[in-house]
Amino acid sequence: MSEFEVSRRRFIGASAAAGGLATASGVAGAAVAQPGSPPRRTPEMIDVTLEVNGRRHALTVEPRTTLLDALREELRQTGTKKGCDQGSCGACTVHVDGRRINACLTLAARCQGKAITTIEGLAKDGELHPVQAAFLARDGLQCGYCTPGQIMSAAALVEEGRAVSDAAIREWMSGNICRCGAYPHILAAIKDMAGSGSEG
Amino acid sequence: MENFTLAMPATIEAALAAAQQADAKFIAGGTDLLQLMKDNVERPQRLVDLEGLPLDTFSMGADGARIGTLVRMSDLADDPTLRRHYPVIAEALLASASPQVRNMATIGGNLLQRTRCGYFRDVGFPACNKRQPGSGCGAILGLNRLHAVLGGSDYCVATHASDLAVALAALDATIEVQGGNGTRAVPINEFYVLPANTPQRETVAGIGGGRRRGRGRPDPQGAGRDGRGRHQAVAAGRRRGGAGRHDSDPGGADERGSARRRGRPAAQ
Repeated sequence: MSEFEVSRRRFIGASAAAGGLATASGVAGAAVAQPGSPPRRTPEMIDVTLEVNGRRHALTVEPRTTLLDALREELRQTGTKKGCDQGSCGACTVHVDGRRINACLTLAARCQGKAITTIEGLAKDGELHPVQAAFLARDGLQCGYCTPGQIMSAAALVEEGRAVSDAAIREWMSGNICRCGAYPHILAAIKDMAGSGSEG
Repeated sequence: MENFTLAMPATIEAALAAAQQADAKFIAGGTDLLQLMKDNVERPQRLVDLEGLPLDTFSMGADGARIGTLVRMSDLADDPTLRRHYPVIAEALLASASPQVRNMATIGGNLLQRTRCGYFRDVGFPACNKRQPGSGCGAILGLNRLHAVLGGSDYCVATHASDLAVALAALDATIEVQGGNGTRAVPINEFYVLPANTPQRETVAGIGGGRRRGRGRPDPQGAGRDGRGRHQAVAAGRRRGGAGRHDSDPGGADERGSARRRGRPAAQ
């Protein structure tokens, strides 16, 4: 987006606030009541510095705050999605210390000192990651909600050297589900990526 | 999920001490525990973080394999030595969960995971003898396609979800349980307890549901293997008294214990 555009999320949030509606975060464990106000500190809260996409963020969170909620609610990095919130769907897939994991089953307070990469951090210097380019070229999405998780998982899968066959790709992407059924194109995108990478 | 305090002990001894506190549970990978906590099946007041403790190595010796409790499922499944000597363990691990979960989940946690019975995991459903002893069992006359045909009882037909446990049982693994009273080796086929009329108890080390008033909950986790064909597991955990018998609530101070001794049948 250009600097003159406003994201839909911000627009709706601003309109709702102006109209007197509360935009409830609705998330248990989010420490910040409103953006910009200091967190209501309870004795159990934990100070943690999260390194996300190469930047460090000092946060104060409840122990029960998941990494997913910290990324979305505290850091406003909403590319990582909450699907099932129980480790089944993979929409929350991020990389921690180079490994793909489910952020919904990770406590933010336990992530001190770990390198976290989210979908926002895949593209470097404005250049799409090869996985992202492959997903675009192969139309590997429909509604797009599972897509950040699919891309994070696919990027890791290729790094892990798992993309040796169609069956292997399906098996090693089994932690990411897609209600729209974009699987054939997701498979094609990963095959494209693996093909170009494996010859290197 | 409800809030809790998080302890991050630096040593196994400190972890054991921290787990002595009331309503404390160990957390390793957290992939099962956090699900249970989000569903309010488990509501510990205190979590004791096991990450970083020296329980995360796998080694092969003349006697066989020794697997540390905190070894990640994915790491063990990928280990070439493990795959060469015990391919069934790798197969069982790779049949489990998802790549993301396997990157987080530990061997010990996998062995100590709770059943995936839908009645157990739904606190809105009143009848579950495992969650609430004496309340009945919804599965016996309900949706039980994935439940036990062998080993169940009139009180509970829940199955254990771990494929790894099956592979280790076939290999006659030994689980090394470490608690406040020391360490003992338990053959895996003696480690798990059939439900009988106490389905809230699942292992000889005391893992299980139900709330113990005023007492910490024993929660051993971890597995390591040693010995040719006989594997030893290292688990950090609390061990209540009564070696050689089930660690039931002593003294009858717990109303559920009294109900069991009166032989009250499970409500249907």
